[in-house]
Amino acid sequence: MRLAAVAGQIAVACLLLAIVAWGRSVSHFPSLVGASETLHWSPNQQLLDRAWAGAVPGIAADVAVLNIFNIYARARSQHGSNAPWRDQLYFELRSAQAMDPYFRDVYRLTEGLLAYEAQRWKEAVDILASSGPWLNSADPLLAASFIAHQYMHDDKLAIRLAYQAIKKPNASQLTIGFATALIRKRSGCKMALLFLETRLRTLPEQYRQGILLRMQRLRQSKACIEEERRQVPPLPE
Amino acid sequence: MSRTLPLVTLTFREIASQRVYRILLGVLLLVPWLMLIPASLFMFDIGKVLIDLLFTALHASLLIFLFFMAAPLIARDIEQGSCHIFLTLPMRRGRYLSARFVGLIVALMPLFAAYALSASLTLTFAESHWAAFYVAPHSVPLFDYGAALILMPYLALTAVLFLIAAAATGLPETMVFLFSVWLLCWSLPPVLGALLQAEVAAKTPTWIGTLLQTVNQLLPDLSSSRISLYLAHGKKLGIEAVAGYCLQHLAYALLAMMLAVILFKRRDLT
Repeated sequence: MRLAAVAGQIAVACLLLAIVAWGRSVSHFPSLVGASETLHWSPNQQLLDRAWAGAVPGIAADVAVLNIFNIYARARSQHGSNAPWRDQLYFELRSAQAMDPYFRDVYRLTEGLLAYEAQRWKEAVDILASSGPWLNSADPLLAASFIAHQYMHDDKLAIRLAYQAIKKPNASQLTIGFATALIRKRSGCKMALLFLETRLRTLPEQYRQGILLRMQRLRQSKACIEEERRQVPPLPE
Repeated sequence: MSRTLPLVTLTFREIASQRVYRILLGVLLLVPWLMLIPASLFMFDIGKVLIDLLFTALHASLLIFLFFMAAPLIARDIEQGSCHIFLTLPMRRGRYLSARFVGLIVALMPLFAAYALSASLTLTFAESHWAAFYVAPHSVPLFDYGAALILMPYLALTAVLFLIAAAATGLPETMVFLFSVWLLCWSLPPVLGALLQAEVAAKTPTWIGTLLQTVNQLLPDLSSSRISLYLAHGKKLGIEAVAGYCLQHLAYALLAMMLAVILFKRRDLT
């Protein structure tokens, strides 16, 4: 009698476990990735972000950066220029920057993903340029200056950003050289490639594709080929 | 004093003898090491992320202590009349509350020390492995300094717990009010900080700012958001600001305890 009761309990437990397993296997709700199309950054988004982050705003920025990794991983599996991930990427970068403006990863991802991958030049320059008051590094400002010059063709903005970059304590020869070249209006293909190579070295391997593609396109461009030809000295007769 | 000290010791023993206390102690020793896993997902500021995670876990553990150990102890003491045992000794009601308060803080210290020790070892390990990704070298003293400062608002919040418990009818009421106060103290100061930025203020109706400011005036500024952000990036905190921060919370804790004693003295415990 007791054995039958135990067997009955085991049978019920097995049945319940089977129901749990079945429930898990069928309860796949569609991802909300598509909803990100409606995400638009607004400064008072900070109010909500800050309310939940409370005493630990740094962790909210970290979560936003983790979201960026997820967005990028999903984006690589989707194709098409109008993919909603670009909006979501911008939203998360803005969120992260608002919560922790000192966070260097935000600026590296802005350059690597928002600019070179998503080609949101203006938005990327906005984020990179706003690093000025927070970071003691010339890197984001130099990147912003480069993007403004190379892709937005706004030399006035590029020179202003380059000036800000060279004022930073860690401003390198490249920063100074780039700024000089901009001012003299001599920045060409070689310098652009050199700059991209420098940026490439600072990014982990899995995030290099965007820059590599840019470099390839730049090398194959007519202007670049002509510039290279001009630099090759003529053979002695 | 001769009667206060045994009650402080008893409070410590009451808390420390609970199984959950020992479990929490074990968890606090383990958690910093587990934080290395999410921190390793980041690219450059790994040190900063690790300190963020450690500060967050510290907040969580202090809240667990406050809500699940301290609040039930004091609320049930009053609700179930256990406090009569001490009050009939005789012991003044004010002294009873003060001894309970000190006892709770004493009980918190081993948890805090264990966490700080484990977190310091974790940071030392991380710093030796990911040296290139550290913006701020010597993160251990920075973390310990930050952890001690983070503890301050929780002293004030513990005093607020006594203030609430002195007037509340029981544990549920105490928990609801304490949670409400904590929620407001957690979220309001950072929101008000954001409202100071011109671009945010421009897009927010003025009445919202005024309303939040009014509510904030009634509550202590229990936020340590800027402290955790600055220390995670190795930035120095002004001595005057730190002194003001510490004194503010200690003064608030004393004020709340004074009010709690006044309320508790007038309370009919029969």
